[in-house]
Amino acid sequence: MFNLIVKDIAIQKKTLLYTFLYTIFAPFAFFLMGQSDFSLYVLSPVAITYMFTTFAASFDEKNKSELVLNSLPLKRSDIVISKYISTLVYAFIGFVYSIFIGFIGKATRLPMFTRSISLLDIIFVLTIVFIFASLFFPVYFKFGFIKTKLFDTMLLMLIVLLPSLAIQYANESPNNIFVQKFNYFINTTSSFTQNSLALITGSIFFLISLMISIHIYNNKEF
Amino acid sequence: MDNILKIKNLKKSYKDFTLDNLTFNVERGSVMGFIGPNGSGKSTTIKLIMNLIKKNSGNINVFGLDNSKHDKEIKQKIGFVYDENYFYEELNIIEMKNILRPFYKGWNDTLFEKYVKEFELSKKNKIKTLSKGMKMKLSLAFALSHNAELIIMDEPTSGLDPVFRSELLDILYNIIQDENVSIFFSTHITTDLEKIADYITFINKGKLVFSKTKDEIVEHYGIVKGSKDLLDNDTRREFVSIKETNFGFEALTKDIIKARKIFKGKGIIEKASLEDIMVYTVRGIV
Repeated sequence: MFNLIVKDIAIQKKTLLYTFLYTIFAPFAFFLMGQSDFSLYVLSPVAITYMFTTFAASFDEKNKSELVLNSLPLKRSDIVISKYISTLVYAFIGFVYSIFIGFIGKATRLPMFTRSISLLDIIFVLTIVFIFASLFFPVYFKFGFIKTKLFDTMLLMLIVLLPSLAIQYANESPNNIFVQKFNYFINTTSSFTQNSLALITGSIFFLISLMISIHIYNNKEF
Repeated sequence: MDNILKIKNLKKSYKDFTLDNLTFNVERGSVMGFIGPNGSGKSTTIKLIMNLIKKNSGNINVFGLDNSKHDKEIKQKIGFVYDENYFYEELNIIEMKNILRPFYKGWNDTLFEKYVKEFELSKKNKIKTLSKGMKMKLSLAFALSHNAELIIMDEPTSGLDPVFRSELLDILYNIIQDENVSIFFSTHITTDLEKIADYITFINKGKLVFSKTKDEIVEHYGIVKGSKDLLDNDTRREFVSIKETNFGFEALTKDIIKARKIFKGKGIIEKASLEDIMVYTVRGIV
C-alpha cells in the first residue's frame, strides 16, 4: 500500500512544486478579503489534497494504468485503501507547506501572516478532506475519471459553496426549526466539540465510502 | 505432465459475445501460440487469466493454484506484455522501474539492466518519446526482470514492423532456452509462431477449434490445389473449406496423408501454413 501512495506522488512530482507555489500565493491573494490565515491554513491544504487526488486519477486514466496495476501482485482492496489513505498524505503535505510558509511569513513580519496553525484548522481541513474523499472515490471507481470530471467540478463547488449557502439560509430564515436547533447547539457547545463532532461524522462517512468503493472495485471489469 | 496453466470449461458471456467452454493447457517450459481472428476472444481469455474480468464458470489454474483465490501469489510469477503501452508516459524508464520494483519479491535489478542494455533502451528517455517497438521491448524488459515463470503476451507484435517483430521473436527465442519459463502468446500474425511456438491453441468466435502441438498440426493439415473436376460430393467432404475460382480450387484438409492418396497425381498437395489453417477454418465455420 505504501508503494502505491509513493507511486501516486512519483507520477506527479511537479504537483509538489505547483502546490508549494499555491501555498505561497494564497495568503497574498486572500489578504484584501481579510482571510489570509484561513486561506493559508485551511484553503491551501484542502486545495492541495484536491489537486493531488484528481491529478493522480487523471494520470492513471490517461495511461490506462489500472490495467497494469491490476496485473501486478496486488489486492484490489489495497489499491482502493491506498487511494483513501493518500488523501490524508496529501493533506499532510499541505499542512507542512502551510506551517513552513506561515513560519517564514511571520519571521518576515508581513501583514498577512498573523498567527500559527491551530488545532481547529487541522480538524476543519480533515473534515473537508474526509467528505471530499467519501464523495469522490466511489464515483471515480465506478465510472473512471474522465466521465466524472463534471461531477468533480460540482463537488468542488459544493464543498466551497455549501457552507456559505447554509449560513445564508440560516440568516434568512431564523424561524426554521432546524436552524433554531442548530443555533441552540452552536451556542451551548464549544467550537472544539462542534469541530470534533464534524470530524467524527466525516470519518464515519470516509469509512462507509471506503467499503462501498472496495465493493465497487472488486467487481470492476477491465 | 507439468502444466503451468490449466484452463477448463471456461465461460464468459457478454451481450454480443460468448467465450464458450474453453479448455486447454500450457506445459511448463513451452511456448503456446494463441491464435484466432480479431474478436475471437483472445484478449478476453487473457483478461480472464489475469483476473481483470470475472468468469461466469469454469476453472483457471496457474502454477496449480486457482487464479481468483491465489491472485496475488500467482501474479508474483507472471510477466505480462499487453498490446499497448499502459505505463506512465510522463516518466522515464528508471522512474517507471522504481514504481514497479517494490511490488515484486523476485525483482532483479541486474537482470533489468542487462535487458535495457540488450534492447538498447535509453534509461533517461520519457516513455512517451519511445517508438512503439521500443515500448514493447520495455514492457518485455519489465516482464522478464522479476523471475517470472509464465510470460503472458497479448498481441505483442501487432503494429510492429517486420524488423522489430523478428527482433522480438529472437529475444523470445532466447528466453525459452530457459526450460522453466513458459510463454503464452496471443497473436493474429501467425507467421510469428511458426518459428517459436511448441503448441498452438486456435479459437474462433469464442470457441476452441484445436489445441495441439505445432508439429502435429504441420504434419496433418494440408492444402490441396487442382482443377474443379476433382471436386465431387465425396472429395468435398475431405476439406475444412474450399476456395473456388474460375481456374480451379484450393482447399484445406485436416488429413494430408489421406488427401495424398485421394488426389495422387491429380492435384498439388502442400503443407498448410498456420495462416492457411486459420483462414480456411474461419471461412469453413461461417
